[in-house]
Amino acid sequence: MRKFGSQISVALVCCILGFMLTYQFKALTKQDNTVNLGSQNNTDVTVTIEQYKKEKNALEAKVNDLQNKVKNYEDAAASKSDSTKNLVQQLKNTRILTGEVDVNGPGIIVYLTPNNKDLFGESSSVDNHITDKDLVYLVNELRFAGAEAISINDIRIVSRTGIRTAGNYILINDNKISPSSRIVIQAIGDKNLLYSDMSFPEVFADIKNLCDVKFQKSDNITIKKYNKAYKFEYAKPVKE
Amino acid sequence: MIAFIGLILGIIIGVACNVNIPDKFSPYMSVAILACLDSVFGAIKANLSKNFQTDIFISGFFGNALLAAGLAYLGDKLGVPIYLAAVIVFGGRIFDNFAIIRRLLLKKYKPKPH
Repeated sequence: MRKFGSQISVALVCCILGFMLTYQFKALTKQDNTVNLGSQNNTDVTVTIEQYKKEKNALEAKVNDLQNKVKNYEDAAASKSDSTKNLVQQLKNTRILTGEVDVNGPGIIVYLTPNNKDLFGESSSVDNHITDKDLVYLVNELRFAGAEAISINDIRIVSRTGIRTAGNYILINDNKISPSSRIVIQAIGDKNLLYSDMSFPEVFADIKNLCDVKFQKSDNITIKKYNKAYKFEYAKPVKE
Repeated sequence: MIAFIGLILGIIIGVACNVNIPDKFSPYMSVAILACLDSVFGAIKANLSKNFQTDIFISGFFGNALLAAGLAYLGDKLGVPIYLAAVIVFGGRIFDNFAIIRRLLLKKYKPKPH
């Protein structure tokens, strides 16, 4: 009887040992898995970014190709009759409005060069960089002065564009621009009107403290097209 | 024999059940496992040399495990890697025990020179 009891206890203890062993084994395997997930190192990420960049360029080229094709079809259709010609003309105008084509024309260019050094020769902190609000304000100001097409660092500003600070960058159309390097804003419109609007002293009142502001008229500004596709998931036209 | 059944039962329980012991106990668990292994080897040795006592085995098993885990915990709190002491002592003892088990087994199964 005593021997039986001791054997039971040994079995129990071995049972506990087995449980602990398997538990620990499982825990460690789980840990390994989670570690592996996070252990993509910087080079991997850089390579991935490069790949995506290449992919992006290839896709953009494809989009251009397809758009040219569409244009050809449109031209072919337009040559048939006057009504289609009008339609195509309207389409072209709409395209400029939605930013789906490159446009060029007269306008002004605004350069915002950040002050990297303040009075004491120290590099400026994050607080006195240009923010998303400054850019939104400037875009609004340019639109008010009748700008027909606006771009910031060659990123087309369209009706759906949002401008917002994200970390150390400002995101425009999901493209990053750095507030600590020079920002170029181009606007096509009545260049004299735009210039005089920018010349109002209060326009750059806040921004002058943050960076050097220069703006100049230009007769030939090219603004690249909006690089994203419009998608309407929620807004649908009302049926009458 | 019954010990093996127990071991396998434990492994099955460990695989089948999803008991959640917090991850932060994981390092202490490993030290405790080492202590338990040492106890088990000690038990095998004692069994072979015919002086196995259940109470000593049970108390050694749990006592060693708790002490090892406790020391590792204390070491963590003090910033001294005391768990190394447990690893070295128990690791060494496992090898010692194994050496004795080996000798005993060899002696047991050695053909008697007649």
